[in-house]
Amino acid sequence: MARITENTRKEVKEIVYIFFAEECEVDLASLNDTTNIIKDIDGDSLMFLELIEVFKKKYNLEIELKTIGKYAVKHPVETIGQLIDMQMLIIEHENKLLDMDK
Amino acid sequence: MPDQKLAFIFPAFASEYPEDPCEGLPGFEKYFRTFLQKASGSVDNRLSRFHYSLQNFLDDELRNQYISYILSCSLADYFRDQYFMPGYSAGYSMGIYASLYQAGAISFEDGLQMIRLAYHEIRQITEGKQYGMGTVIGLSLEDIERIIARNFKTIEITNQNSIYSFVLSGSFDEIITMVEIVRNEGALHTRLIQVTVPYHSTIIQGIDEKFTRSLAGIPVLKPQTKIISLADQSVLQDADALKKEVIRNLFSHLNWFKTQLRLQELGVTRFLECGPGSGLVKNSKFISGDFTFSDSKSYMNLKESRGEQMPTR
Repeated sequence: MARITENTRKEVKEIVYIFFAEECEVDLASLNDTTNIIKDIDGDSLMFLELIEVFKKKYNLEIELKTIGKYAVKHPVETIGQLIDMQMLIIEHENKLLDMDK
Repeated sequence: MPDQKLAFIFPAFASEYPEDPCEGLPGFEKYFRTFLQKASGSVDNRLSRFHYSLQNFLDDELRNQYISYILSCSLADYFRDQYFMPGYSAGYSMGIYASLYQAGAISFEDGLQMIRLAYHEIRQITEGKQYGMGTVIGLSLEDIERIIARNFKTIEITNQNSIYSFVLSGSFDEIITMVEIVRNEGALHTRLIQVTVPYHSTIIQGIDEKFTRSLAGIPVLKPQTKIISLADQSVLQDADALKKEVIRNLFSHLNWFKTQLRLQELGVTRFLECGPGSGLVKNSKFISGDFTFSDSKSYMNLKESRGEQMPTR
């Protein structure tokens, strides 16, 4: 499991914000944690998948996509803040993500 | 001279239209309206009523195919007149007809006839039964094959877009159930495609002989651009190969993922999606290699931002 430092959340947040600003062609300043990814900025599932890949590479994570998918069925993500929370859990728990629900 | 590093890719049908599809393409609207008028006179006069938001035929399977073909052919001609000459082209699913038109192998009107014939003949073969198609993102090929083998009789994987993205065809009931099962098995995204027939499935293989006879009167010429088959990634360079491809395309499993990789092997470094939307551009982020994949608008911007001059006639 990846080591979470004080800076990890800040780093994740920065990556997520910049990613959506670029992908959805919106002003970075217009985004906040309550921004709805699909309704407000026209995001889509491929962007979510792309972000997962970004973090998998960055933190050298060992996690199967289907593990994230199974977790997302029970904990759906709608806002940027929720997405950041989920990414933090993915980084922290990797393939043991589903154990969180046990 | 064709640019051997450039490939035009023609998508299947639209699921939505951008607010202004002509934005960033000065003069394009004239091309589109001219083709729309031709199509209205040739196969369906209601096409002349098309409007991107008010009357876009997104819920009409056949007209949606016509409009996608018309947009794709308009873009092909528009880019030709801007001196963009691809060395290769490929038609994703029903985008095959626009690919043949761009390569000079068929006339615009004959492409419309092929779409009409294919649609009606598939309808005949599937009459009385309900079919559907869906996409699954986030599971591996092995996972999907395992789920199909355990649960379904009619579902086939009919296209692979990337390592994580698949298109399925089968009976409507099974597709609906499949979508539910794969979500619970960890798929990140599923979507039903707005069609009622199982394109690229062996379910409609019986169309082979009849469609061959129907197409017999439509002339197909040697292509001026090399076309890559989505069925087996071969390079199609003569009329006979194209005729066979048009027929087998309807009931053969396709593989876009392998097709893009094949084009990269052949030296293509720039892909241009010629049609409504930018689904293949988005999909390309999950395919490795040293290439750029643009939609029509971003491609024009890219050329201009690099200071490349558009030749004038």
